[in-house]
Amino acid sequence: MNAQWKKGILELCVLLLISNKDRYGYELVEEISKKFTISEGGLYPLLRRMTKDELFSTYLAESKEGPPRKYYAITEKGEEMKEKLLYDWNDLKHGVNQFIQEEVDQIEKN
Amino acid sequence: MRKTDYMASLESKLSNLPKEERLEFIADYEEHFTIGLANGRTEDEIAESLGKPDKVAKEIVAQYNLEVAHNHPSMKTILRASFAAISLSMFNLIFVLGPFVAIMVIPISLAIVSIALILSPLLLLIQEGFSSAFWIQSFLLIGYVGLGMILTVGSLKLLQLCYALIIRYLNFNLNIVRGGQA
Repeated sequence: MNAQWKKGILELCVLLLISNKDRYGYELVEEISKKFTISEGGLYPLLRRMTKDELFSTYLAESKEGPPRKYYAITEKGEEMKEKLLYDWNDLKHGVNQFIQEEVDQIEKN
Repeated sequence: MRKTDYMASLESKLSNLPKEERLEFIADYEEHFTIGLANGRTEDEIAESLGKPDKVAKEIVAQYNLEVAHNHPSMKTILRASFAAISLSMFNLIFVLGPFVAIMVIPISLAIVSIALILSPLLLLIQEGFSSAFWIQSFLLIGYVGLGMILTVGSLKLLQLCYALIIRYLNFNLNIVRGGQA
């Protein structure tokens, strides 16, 4: 089991959000900060890094509400990374749940 | 904090970044403010939730410097990336500086030893002068200098390895999920 899952959590969340539909930065920040306390300003450098890693492509789209917005769209490489991170997460979840189950059983026996 | 003040502070803290990078980030945060305002939030609220501009700038700079170090590893880029990471938080002061020093001590000490070995003829000369004592001990010098050269090559290789190790560690460290402000 590796410690890389910590690194992967935000990446995974972003990839999940973007794989369903293209999103713009503000949307991503909003959605993620609903579930986690994060440094919101710190999300943009992460997005930039993931873009440079070719996990998404970006494009500008006109918006009715004002100036054009930068949208993030998932790439094939991004889809692969998403699958990998999901796998790692489930692995971890499974392991932790087993531990919890065993300890609970122990406690009940005693 | 007012949007103009926030953006000005952010921009000035990013002045060492290449123009393209800086403009891209400025555009991102401008967009963020614009949309937030359109959603009815105040400039103050948005600034608050983003976090202090100098902190945000530090994260951006740390990420960028790491990328540079990753693509062009050298003493200069590694040092820059390490110190950018250290500047992020108290936590990092210990958890980056510590490992950094621990890792770099080895190739640096090795380099010092190999330099001393290569300089050994000079050192012996200084100590003994052109005396018979010098000539008697001088036959050892061939061995010392040779060993020094081998160790120099070794320490350079080790240095490369240590760079790679530091970069991997910085990458790990930079991407840990941080709660709240850090």
